Amino acid sequence: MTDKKLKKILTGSVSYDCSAAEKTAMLLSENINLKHKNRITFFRRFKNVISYISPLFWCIQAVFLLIFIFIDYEKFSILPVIPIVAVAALCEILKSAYFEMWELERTCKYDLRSLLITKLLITGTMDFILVIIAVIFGGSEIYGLLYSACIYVLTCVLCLTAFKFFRNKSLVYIFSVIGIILSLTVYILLNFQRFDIFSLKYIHLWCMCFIVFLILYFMRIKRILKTEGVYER
Amino acid sequence: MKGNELVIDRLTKNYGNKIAVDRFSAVFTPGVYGLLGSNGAGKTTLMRLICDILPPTSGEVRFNGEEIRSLGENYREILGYLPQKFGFYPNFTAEKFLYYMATLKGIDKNTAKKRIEELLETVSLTDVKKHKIKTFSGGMKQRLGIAQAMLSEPKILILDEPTAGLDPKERVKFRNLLSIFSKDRIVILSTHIVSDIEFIADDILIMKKGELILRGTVDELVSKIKDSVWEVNIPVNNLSEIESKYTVININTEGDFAVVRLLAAEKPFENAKACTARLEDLYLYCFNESGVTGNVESHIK
Repeated sequence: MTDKKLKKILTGSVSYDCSAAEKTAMLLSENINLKHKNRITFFRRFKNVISYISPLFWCIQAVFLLIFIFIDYEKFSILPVIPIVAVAALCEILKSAYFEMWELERTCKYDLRSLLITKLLITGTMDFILVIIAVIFGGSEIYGLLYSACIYVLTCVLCLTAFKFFRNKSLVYIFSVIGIILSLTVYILLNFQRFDIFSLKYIHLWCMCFIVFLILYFMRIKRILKTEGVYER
Repeated sequence: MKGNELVIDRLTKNYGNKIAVDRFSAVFTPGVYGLLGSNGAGKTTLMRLICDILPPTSGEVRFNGEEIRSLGENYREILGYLPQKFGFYPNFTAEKFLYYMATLKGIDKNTAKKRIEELLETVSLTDVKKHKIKTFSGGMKQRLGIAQAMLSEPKILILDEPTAGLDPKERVKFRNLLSIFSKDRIVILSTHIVSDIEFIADDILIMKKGELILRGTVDELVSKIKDSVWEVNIPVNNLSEIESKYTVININTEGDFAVVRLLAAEKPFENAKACTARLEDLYLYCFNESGVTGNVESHIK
């Protein structure tokens, strides 16, 4: 290899097709634009899910709102109503199961898992606002919020446990029965002064129960969001 | 240019001790594939595995070389599915339902509007698009089902027993729709009704107890029992003797006599007539419940 030969190799140029590079760049750009054009933001998806939530759910929420605003808190407590609030939310969240839409929704781009999470956020936020309104209008302190949250989460845990065994239209009836039983139980405990479980001396017990119920609730939700949790028993 | 390819590689699904799908392997390229099998053969489980609804016990499904579980929403974007039990929100109208599915499939509103109009026209539901789905007949619901499966112009279309419960007229309509929708895509259609796929499928896969037992075109499959199908009139009293000696496909009792359709390598009786083998003969032979082993291998040429 002489210097002359090396120089010849290094200075030699290979011609290439300029138009091929331009075409590639154009195709790539079209592909990227198409993906961006079809991408739906989370906010837009959130808005879409809200528009498909059943009008019945919104009516029930409106009824609860009116109850919590206009109820006479000196005579009545909202605690027996809390299980029904939870049942209404769960019926909306899990309606894919009892209308047998879960298989179809599972195969969509924004699948059942993302739909469930979005619905959980929506209904959870609505119910939280309702309870806050009740606490404000009721003039009760933070304990009112703790009792409500505890009963709400307990209702969710029991209903989600029942979901393990029932998937079809009977789910609504099962949830309703659980809600009514819990409502009656809370009503009896409120009016049965012997144990007085809503007094401040049991507040630590309520805190512990809330933490335990919350852990169970997240375990149930996690199981449902896993593939097997929805489709295999 | 290489087309799309769906590869199923030794797919297995167990439920405890029960094997629902047993080491199923197949390659699909654009075309219509009929998956034939009786109830409990594992067709629906296989469909759910292909659609990534169920996780497999072992094996994998690959689309264009990539495992579908890793593709995630990119795979679901090119998938259209019509399940065996087609659920719906009863108070939704047909149009609202399609808009709802379009939302879940990530289709923007303008594209969805155009697509929904076209699809409603193709499946002849334009006149009833504002009607609630709960008022629809079975055939109308199935047509709506295939419309939703086609919303995202899928590259893979999976239809699980789409004609179950439909009357013959509706089944013909559905088959016609399928021939429109099947161009340039992989269509896998499962059924236990042979006539649904006999004239439309490019390739037929026969499934039994979770396993793929036979695959081929209609002609290839039927040729396996060519010149082996006979029909004979015998007294009803002799039926048990015939069943113990020969592979019986079908028995049609007419008074004291029975017309028996059976498989035999040679003419079994003087009065036996040779019949043209049909796919239904092969299917009935594979899945007969008369106690005969149904081992096709002994008759395969």
